[in-house]
Amino acid sequence: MRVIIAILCLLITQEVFAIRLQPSFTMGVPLGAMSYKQTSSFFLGQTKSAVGGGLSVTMPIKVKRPFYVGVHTYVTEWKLDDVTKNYQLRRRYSNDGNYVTVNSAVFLYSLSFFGAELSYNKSLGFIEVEPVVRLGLGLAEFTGVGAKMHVKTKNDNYFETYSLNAERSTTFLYHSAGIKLYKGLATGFGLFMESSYCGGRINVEMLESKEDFLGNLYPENSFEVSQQISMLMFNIGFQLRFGTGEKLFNAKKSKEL
Amino acid sequence: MRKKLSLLLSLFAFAVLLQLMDSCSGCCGDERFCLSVESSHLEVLDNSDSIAKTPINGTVRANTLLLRYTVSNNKSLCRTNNYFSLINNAYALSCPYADRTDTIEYLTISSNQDFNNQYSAGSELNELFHIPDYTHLDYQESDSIDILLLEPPADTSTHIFIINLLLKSGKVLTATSQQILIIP
Repeated sequence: MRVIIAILCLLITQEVFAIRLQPSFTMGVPLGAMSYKQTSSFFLGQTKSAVGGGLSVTMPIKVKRPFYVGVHTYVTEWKLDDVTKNYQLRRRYSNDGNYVTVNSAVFLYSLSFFGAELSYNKSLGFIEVEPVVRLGLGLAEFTGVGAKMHVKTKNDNYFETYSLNAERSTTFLYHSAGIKLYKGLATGFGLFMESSYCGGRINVEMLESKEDFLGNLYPENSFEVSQQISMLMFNIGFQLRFGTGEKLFNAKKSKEL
Repeated sequence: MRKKLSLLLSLFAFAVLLQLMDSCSGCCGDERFCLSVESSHLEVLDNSDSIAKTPINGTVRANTLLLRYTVSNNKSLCRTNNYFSLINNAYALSCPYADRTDTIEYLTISSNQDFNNQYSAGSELNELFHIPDYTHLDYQESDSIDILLLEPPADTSTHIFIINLLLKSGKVLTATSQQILIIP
């Protein structure tokens, strides 16, 4: 790893590569089935926002041409709203003949994005505008997702205890399109803001276990929750620009001649 | 002079650090507390709704009868360490809340009336109830368990339930419920 970094640094200082490094603070705003008070989703819904961070590295396809390619990674943490989460769990377990008490429910999960991007840079003089499209593989981790419900039969001592957990993690494909704004503050350094829409579909396996009031355990039940991912992502951060890539592209040009 | 000052400052910083590292929160220092089972209380409740309630008119249906058994424990200072242990105070990793002077051995439920042909008045009715784990009842100053009736009595009759809690020392704690009419 150190060797790769050293080679990369050498190539940048030798003006072989033109690289843009972009660390950012990320905020996610859920849309559609993921949005707040949306009850059609079993557990990806009912959240107001997410926070996280990310990093992207991009370089131009050709020097002095406005197209850039790169890779990126973003991690966002999502926490579901307690009131609507409990409402949704009650809706799943309650019927006319029982009382449902949600004893504990922690629905905290993270969505990570790893992918490639293509963007087109257009300078408007005082600011640079850059539409971007992305494609990649997402990782959803549900280590903090779990709930326990006490379901008591009306007019009877009988009750059951349910445990509901999500599988630890799952992957999904996503696509994204947005626009970046960059304002240079010094040579090779500037601030950027980005707004993009991110979509995809995630299938999560939920595991449900049941125990009756005598302590008898029932076979574990599993069911799949399939849901569309739909969110707006806002990134704000700074951009570092290294090298111009002139050597590489000059060499190409001389070969062509 | 500067060396002495820096030494003094270092000692002061070390003392502050030790204070910050004290993880005992007052429970595993020189004083140790003990819990001893003091009294118990038994109440018959009606479990027909989401929360068990006191039965109306002293009547409860058999399939919703719930016995709430509560044990109160006395917490007292039982041991004082007279030695100075900086390491103990500063690096204690486990810190039990309190010691127990006795432990719970067994619990029996009985009634002052015949329950059915097999279970006469005063006989042990444990098999007819779902009794959750009760060995933790002496871990806190007060704790309770809910005991559920599984099998109804043969006839509609008025019962007074009695729970005897046997401790390892041989001490028996008796709790008596209110009078309750059990209907099918």
